[in-house]
Amino acid sequence: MSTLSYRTKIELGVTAVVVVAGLFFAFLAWEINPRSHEIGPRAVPMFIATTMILLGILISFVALKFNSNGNGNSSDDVDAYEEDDYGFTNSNISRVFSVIGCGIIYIILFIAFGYFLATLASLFLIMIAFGNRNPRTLILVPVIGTGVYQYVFMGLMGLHDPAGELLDVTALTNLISGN
Amino acid sequence: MLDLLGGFAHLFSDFDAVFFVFLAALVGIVAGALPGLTAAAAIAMLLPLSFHLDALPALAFLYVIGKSGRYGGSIAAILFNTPGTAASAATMQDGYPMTVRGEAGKALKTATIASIIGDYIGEFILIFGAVFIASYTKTFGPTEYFAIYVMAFIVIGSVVGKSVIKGILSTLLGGFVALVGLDTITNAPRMTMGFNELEEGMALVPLLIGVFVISEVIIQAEKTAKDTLVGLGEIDTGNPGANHLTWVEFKRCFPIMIRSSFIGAFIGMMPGLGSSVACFVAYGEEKRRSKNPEDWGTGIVEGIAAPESSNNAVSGPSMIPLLTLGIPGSTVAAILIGVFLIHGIQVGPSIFDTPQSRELIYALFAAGLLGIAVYGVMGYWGGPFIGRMISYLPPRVLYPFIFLTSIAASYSSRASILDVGIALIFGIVGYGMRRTEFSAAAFVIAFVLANNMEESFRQALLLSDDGILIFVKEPVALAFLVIGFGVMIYRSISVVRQKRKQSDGNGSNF
Repeated sequence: MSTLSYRTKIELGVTAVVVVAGLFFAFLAWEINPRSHEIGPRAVPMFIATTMILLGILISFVALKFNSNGNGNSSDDVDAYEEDDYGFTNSNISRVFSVIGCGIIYIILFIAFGYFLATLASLFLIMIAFGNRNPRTLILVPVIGTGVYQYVFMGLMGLHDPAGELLDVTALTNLISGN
Repeated sequence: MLDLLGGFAHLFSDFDAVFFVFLAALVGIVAGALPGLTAAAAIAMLLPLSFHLDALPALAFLYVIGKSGRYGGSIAAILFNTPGTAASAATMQDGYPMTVRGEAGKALKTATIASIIGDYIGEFILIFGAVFIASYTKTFGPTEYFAIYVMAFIVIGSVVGKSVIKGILSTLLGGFVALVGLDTITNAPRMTMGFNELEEGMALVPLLIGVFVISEVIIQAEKTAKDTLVGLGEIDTGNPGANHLTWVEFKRCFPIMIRSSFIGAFIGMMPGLGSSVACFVAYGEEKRRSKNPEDWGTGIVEGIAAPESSNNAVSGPSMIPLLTLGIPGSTVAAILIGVFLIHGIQVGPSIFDTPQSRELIYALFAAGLLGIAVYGVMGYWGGPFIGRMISYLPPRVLYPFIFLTSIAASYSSRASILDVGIALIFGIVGYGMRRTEFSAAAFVIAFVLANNMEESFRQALLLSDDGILIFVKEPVALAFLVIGFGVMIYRSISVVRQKRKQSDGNGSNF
């Protein structure tokens, strides 16, 4: 594996992800009741899943072919690809997880405490994830921002503002949204 | 022409529609000028707002954001050496050197005039071309439509990115996700994984937000080492002499703008080939024609006029496949399909048949024409100011708000917290796609088309006595299939040749 270029390694990883996704999709498609129709509801999803698996494998074949056809510089040539954002050498995985983590926390808090507190806490956390450390900014921006969101989405747009399962603050937040 | 005048009358009789055209012009310029945030991302976040509007204000709002967003990208390209959108990448090459020389104002004015000319030419081609083509396509049945959808999938997948295989995989992924939910013919639940909410299918809004907005927020989170979006020091528009586009310069650029506009309009009609392709084709063509090609890239107004007129000329004609065949030629057009459907309007050639929908479409054309003028005025006099304001925005405050807005917008589409989860999942998917050269645009367009494609496939087979051979026996269907596979083969051969020519031989973008 050490003779594989960085791009080829990534492409092999892409193949693995695509094939696994294709197999999962094929499993989901297989569970569809085919009914009595010749071309029933299962046909097109199954065709797509199968084609995905085949094309995923093809990515690897092409990557390996061009890797071996290279000029011999097939070791880790990371620098060559940093400039075009291909691959994950520029990635900061902790930042990626922190953004997604804020989203997951939002969902949990939304169910437990409702829209307002979920938005307040998530805005605070995502501000930290983006490197804000000034205490005044970390307090004022989420409080003002959440108030604006509450007014615009729940007040002006009239969205459903469900009560939290653990704590119901809708009586207070309705004062902001005007409901 | 009378229809267009009627469209203007309809538009100006609707105060909301006119207001949202003005708002869209401003929102689009700002969104386009923010590095990383595209017009499609802005539209995705604002799509739920359009659910609360009537059809014309909703469509006009999103359509004009698409136009002004393309233009707004030039502000970031010229002032900050960062393309606000992919469509402005070519503009950087001459725009930023002019800014460094203290001629930012001249560069911005050139970009504005070129964008307006390109957009107007594209819009008139749309207005007069769409009705003409629609008169031919409205006789098509499910067999022809299936072939058209297949052609669109293959062509978009083949041309939209660096890799043909990954482009087609992007369309397949979008197609599969679209089929989640109840089968339209048998009502059988498909791929719902036990979630009853998924029986209605995946909603467009969280998917768009995930792929375009959350993925961008993740990428920006990785880049937060910078305190400001851009450097502040080089935006100098204070010298009137160096920042005024002279009549001589305009006369020199005018033929370039016209030629590039037609290049952009032609590329715009091709599904999948968008502004990012058009701007480089026009730039390359005008550089080739130039008597002094060595000056290109050093900061000349011609180097801004060509890509800017071309990328904005894409906007109108990219709606032609949508209005004549029901196939979106761009991401913005794909999103507009969703808005049309929400308001009970079936997109396709028959849209010109009923008086109500015909009137709506001409009013939308009128909104487009008005929107071009509005963003032109705003950009010509306000471009430097907007650029300066953006340069002061700290991304560490801006992007948290974009993230929370996208979460709120995902929730608001169906008041479902599941949609927030779906947006997050597609945020990760979109991030992975961007890092590995898959195409988010092909994914979204396929998502929008897949259900119709499957339906027409099964309807055609029900009508057929020869099974699947019906797609070969019908000459129109066969022609579309041949075009689709022909483009894929041609593009594949081009990519392989290109790879072989590369001296380093490291890539594998097939």
